[in-house]
Amino acid sequence: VDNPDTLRELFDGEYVPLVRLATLITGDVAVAEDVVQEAFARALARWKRIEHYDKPGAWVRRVVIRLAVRTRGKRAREMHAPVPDTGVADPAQPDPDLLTALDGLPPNKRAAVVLFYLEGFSTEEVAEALDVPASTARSHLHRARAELARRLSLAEMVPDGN
Amino acid sequence: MATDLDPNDPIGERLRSLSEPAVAPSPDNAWDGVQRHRRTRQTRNRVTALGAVAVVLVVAVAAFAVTQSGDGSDHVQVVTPSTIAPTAEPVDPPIYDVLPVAKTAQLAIKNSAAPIKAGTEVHIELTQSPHKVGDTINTNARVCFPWADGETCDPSVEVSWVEGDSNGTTTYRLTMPGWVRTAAGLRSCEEIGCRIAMQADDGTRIATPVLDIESGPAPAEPASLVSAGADGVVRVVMDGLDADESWKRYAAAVDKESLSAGWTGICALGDSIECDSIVRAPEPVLDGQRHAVDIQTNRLLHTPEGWIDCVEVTCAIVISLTVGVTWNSQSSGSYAEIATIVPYRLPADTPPMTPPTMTVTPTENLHDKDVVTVTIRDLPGNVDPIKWRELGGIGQCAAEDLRMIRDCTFATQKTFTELPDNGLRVEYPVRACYNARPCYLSLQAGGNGYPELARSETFTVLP
Repeated sequence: VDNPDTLRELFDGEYVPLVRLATLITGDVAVAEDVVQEAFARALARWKRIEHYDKPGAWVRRVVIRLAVRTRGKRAREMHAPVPDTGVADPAQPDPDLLTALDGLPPNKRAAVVLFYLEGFSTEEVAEALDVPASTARSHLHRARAELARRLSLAEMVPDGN
Repeated sequence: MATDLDPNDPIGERLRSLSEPAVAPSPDNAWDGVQRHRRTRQTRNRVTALGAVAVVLVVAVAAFAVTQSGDGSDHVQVVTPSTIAPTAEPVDPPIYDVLPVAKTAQLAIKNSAAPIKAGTEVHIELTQSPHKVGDTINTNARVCFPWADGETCDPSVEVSWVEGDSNGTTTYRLTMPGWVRTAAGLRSCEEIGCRIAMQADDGTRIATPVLDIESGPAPAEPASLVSAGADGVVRVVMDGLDADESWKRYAAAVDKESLSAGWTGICALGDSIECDSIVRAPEPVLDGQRHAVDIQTNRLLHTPEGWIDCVEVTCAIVISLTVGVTWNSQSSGSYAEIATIVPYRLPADTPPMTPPTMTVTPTENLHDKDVVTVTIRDLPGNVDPIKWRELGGIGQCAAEDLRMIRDCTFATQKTFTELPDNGLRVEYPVRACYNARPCYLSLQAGGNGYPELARSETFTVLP
C-alpha cells in the first residue's frame, strides 16, 4: 500500500506482513506485534508529514526493522542471556536446527539475514534498513552466513579457518 | 569456500523452507494496540515515570558500582534528632505541571460505603461513556487532589487493573491511602479531598466524586528534609529504610549482586516524578537505621519535561526500592517501588545556572570523515565527566526536516579529554551531511524521552 488514504488503510494492508517480518527478527510473535504497533503509533504521531511521502509503507517498515533489532538486543541484555526463540520449541517448524542457529546470531546479523534471504533485500537495501554502511551490512551477512553454516555443519560454506 | 553473497545459496534455501510465523489476521484490537502505544508515548513521562527512572538509575548504579567500593559510607553521616528542623513551605507550593480539574464522570467506588477507612481495599468501576478509555489495562488511574488552580496526583500510589467485562466496564483495585504525598509533604485526604482520576482517550480527565475518607493518623515517612541550601546541597534524614525482603533473599543467595537494593533520584515533582539525567545521587543506605545524607543537586534538572528550575518549582529526593526480586542462575527480575518522596525547593538566592553548551571547531570546509573538536562546557560541577560520558552520547543530526527516519546518527566516542573547568573535549569524526544540507551535533543524556542537553552551531559536511 504505497499511497494509503489513511494510516488505518496502510495498517490493514501491512500489519500481517510486518508482524511476520518482525517475528523473524525478534523470534517472538507477541514482541513482533508490539513492535509493529509501536511503529504505527510513531507513524500516527507524524502522519501529516509521512502521508506526503512517496512510500509511507517503506517508512513504517524501516521503523519496524530498527525497532525489532533494538528490541531483540534489549531483551537479550535485560535477560543477561540469549533471548529464547519461541519458534525453536514449535514442533510444527520444519527446521528446528536452523531456528536454533538463527537464534544464536546477534540481532543486527539476524536482521541482515532475514532481510537478505527472506525479504529479498540487496546488500545496499539491508544497509539502508539497518542504518549502517554497505560494507558493514556485507560484513554482517558474510559473518552471519559463516556462523549459520558452522552451526548447521554446512562444510562447503564454512570459510577456511573456521 | 563460498564468499559471494547469494540469496539462493543453501542457507537461503533452508531459510525459505521455514513455515511463516503464525500471525492472526489484522484484528481491531491490534489497531487498539497502536492507539495504546500512542497514548503511552504521550503520557509515558507522567504515568510511568518510575519505570523510566528505574532504567536510568540502573545504568547509573551500574556505573557507580564500578568505581565505588564498600557501602557508600563516604556519603553518610549519622546526625542527632536535634539537627532535624522541617522547612516551612507555603500552601500549595508550585509544581512543574498542574493538571486541569477532572470531570466527575464514569468512575465510581463499588465495594465500599462512605466513609472509606484508610487501608481499605476498594474496587473502582470505569464505564466507557461518554469518554472512551481504550487501554483500560495499562491504566493511568491515580489518586488525585486539588492543587493550585487545578489538580495533581500522588505519583507513589498505584491503582491495579482487576478485570473487564463484555459491557465495557472495567474494575480496578486500590488500597485507599489516608494521606497522599504532595509537594507540601504528606497531606490528609480528609483535609485535602482525594478522588480517583484518569485520562480518557480524548484527553478529558474523568474522576470519581471527591471521596469521603477516614484518613486516620499520618503514616511515618521514612525520610524527611533537613535543609536545602543555595549551594544546592539537600540534606535528608532517612530513618528505618530497609531493603525489601525479596532483595535480601536474592543478595544472600548470589555471590555478587548485580541488582541494587534501591535508588535515589533527584526529580521534579508533580503528578509524576521527572528525574535528572545527569547527576547521580548516592545509593540510599538501606539498613533500617537512621542516617543523614547530603545530596549535591543542581538548580536546573535535565528531565523528560525539559530543564526544570528547582528554585521556581518543587523538586524532590525520591527513594525507590527494588521489590519482588526473582532470580535464577542467568538472570533476575524485579520492579521498583517508590518508598518515599522528600520535596524541596532551593532558595531564591541560589546562583543561576546555565545548561551545558557544545561548540565545534572547525565548522567550515568540512568533508566526510574529517575530525572536528567538540568542546562541552558548563556541565554542572557535580557531574563526573567520566561517569557522565558513559551515559550520554553525541549524535550528528540533520538541521532541516529531510523526511528521514532518524534525524541523528551516533558514533562511539573514545577520546574524551577532561578539561580543568569540568568540561569535556572529544575528537569527533563527522560524516557527510545528507544532500550537503546543514547538520549539527547533539549532546544526549537520559535515554529515550529526554530532550537533548545541548546542540552545536550548524555546519555542512561535504562528501
